[in-house]
Amino acid sequence: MSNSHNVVSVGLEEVTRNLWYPLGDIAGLPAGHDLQRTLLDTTITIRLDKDGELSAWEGTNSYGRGLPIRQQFGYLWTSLGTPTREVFDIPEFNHPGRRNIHAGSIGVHTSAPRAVENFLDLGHFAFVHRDYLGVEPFTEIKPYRVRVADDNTEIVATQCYAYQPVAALGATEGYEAEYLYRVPHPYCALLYKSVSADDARIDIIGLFLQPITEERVVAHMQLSTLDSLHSDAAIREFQQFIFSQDKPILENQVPKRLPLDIRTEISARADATSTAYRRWLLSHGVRYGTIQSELAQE
Amino acid sequence: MKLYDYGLSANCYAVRLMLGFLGISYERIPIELYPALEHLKPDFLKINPFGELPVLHDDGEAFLDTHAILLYLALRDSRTTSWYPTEHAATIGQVSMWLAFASRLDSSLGAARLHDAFFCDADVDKCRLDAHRYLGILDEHLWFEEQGSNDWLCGGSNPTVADIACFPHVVLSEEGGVSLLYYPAIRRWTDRFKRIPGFTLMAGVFDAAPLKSAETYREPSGATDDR
Amino acid sequence: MSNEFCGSWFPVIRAEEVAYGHVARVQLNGQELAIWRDDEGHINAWENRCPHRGVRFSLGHTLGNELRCQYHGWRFASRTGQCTYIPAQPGHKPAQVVKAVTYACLERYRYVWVSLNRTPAIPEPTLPLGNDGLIAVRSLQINAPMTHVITYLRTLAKTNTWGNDRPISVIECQVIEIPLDTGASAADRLLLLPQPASKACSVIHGIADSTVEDGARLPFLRRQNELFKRFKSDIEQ
Repeated sequence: MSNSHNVVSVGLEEVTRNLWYPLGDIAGLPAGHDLQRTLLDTTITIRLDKDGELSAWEGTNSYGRGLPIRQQFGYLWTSLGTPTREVFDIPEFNHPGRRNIHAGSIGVHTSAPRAVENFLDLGHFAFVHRDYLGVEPFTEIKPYRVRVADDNTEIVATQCYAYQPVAALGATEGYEAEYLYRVPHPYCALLYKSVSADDARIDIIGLFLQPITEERVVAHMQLSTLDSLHSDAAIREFQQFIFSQDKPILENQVPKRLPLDIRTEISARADATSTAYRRWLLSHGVRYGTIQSELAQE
Repeated sequence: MKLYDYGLSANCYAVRLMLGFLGISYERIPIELYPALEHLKPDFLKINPFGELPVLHDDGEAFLDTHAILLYLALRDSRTTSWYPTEHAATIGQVSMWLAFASRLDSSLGAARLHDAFFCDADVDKCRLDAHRYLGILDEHLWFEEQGSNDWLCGGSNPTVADIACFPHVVLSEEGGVSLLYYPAIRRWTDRFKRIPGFTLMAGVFDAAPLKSAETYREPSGATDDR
Repeated sequence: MSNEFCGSWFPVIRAEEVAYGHVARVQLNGQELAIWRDDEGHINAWENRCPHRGVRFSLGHTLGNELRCQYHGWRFASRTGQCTYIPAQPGHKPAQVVKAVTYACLERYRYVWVSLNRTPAIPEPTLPLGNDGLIAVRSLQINAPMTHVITYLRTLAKTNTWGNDRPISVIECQVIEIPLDTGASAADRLLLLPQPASKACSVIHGIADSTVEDGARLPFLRRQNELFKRFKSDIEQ
């Protein structure tokens, strides 16, 4: 079965081609033999050789065009084009006391922009993550701040609050968590979350998307936590659990690609980040995984 | 009782469903299938040389197969044997048949899901084709059972381990790219299944609607219209 | 989708299959629909898509006279499709524009019929049937466009392959009537109603106008199901 999406024959737009993309966590790569990955409808071959050197080529073997490599946050990143900037930064990542855990790479039948929007969404906690990240009747989302960074490189949303029965693994009582979101890449988002009143602990959750096609992604999930009580495995399990609750929602959105025309879908006040995100994608000329006009829909 | 379990495994969910229906408490031992591949490591292979989940330990016995676990749980207490009725040979035959069918769902729907979500090797196109063929058979069977006023796979007025074994793969089918759009009888069966007392969720499964118009919370409407 | 079928009424699902507390999923002419019954038994046929973020209503819950979307819990009223409650903004009445896309639907001859026609008042479906003694047989999905299904059934009608003297007639362009083999009266017949689901898919529905005794009902339904499966395999090859 091929993904029968309507790829317009103009081809992949340059702005999207020139980005860095994650292909997987490095620690999980077997050494000494080639692996295939798919990115933006393109097959890529990657190799971790016995000396720890990473390489990537376009195509099904190592004789194709060599691709640039970066290692960031424990992931292998590459590009099919010529990036003008490095992979975005998470300044807190290497702070002492932080445990940085790769929580998993899960395939989802959705577009990268839809997955980003779901990650940024505040209004679904009491329904999709009921009794964990939200519960009725504490569903009200108070107005929060969204701004685009001066150089248009990222979106930041602050002062987002949500009452959460289990704000993080091991929580024994409900807490009004405070969220900060960063979108430093059209297909990557970060969530900075204060998880308890007891300390100034901020956990950072990263969603780094590898678009396989316009309607299928690999979601690489990163947890950067100050939790000192739970095992890596327990933290991974919780993150996979929460993400897997979103999966059927993502896989049942119609259309799979994100409509950028904000008149196509009705937004509420709580959707301020999503509205900003759609406008931001438009302003950058990002088309892959989106629908620009209602008329283009099937 | 110990259950070696992974939260996102469809077969483990079948056992957790059974334990929930029977109200049995147990110790859960998480074994991480993805990304750690713990099931393939020596420590777990000592517990199950097949390298698979779920595994149940109880009373000195070890059970390494999902269906075996379901049967054991159904029969270990005489009050719960309706889940695996043994009075008539015909019923045992029917339940066996639909347990075998659940294995077909595992190797088609289940394999497609593992391929699409966790990148396991599979001939996924064949898996999906097979899945649709099986779902067509299941839908027809359930439709005619409904016409005979039976809610479950094996006739009778009670669900059996066959329903439990099939449910996880069916309800998670879309994760493997198989839609239930053309299987309306199957969709109704999943709703009925979700209403069995003691039903438990897993990530990726939602509840059925409450049957009575229960009180659901709503703030009184404000005076002003929005926007 | 082809305009040829756009305006018509089509049966989409047997009425008894729209169970209380269940949202049925069907597809008509490329449009996926959520079909559900409210507390008064009124049937709704909505675009299977919440207007907020496009999540299928068939994932959601019927709550008496409202349907609640699974994503953000937005609630929509039966009949009008009007959004009545947005949990993220409790205390605010949702604007009028926030509503589900609703389609005309009715219950008749044991089926739920839907028209995707957005302009008012096209004639409701009428068939040469009473309302008593009708049996809706099991619907079957066929991997072929509607036009192929109709061509096949019309060819059957012309060639009269039932091996008896009773004629097969085409009542309307889309409804094919075939005589039943119940061994009962000559008036017994089965109306075949093909329905376009998508470009490559159709569904055949059937209404039997027949007196079938209780004990003979299940075998009768099985025979018609086998007949449809024969159609399916003929058409698909």
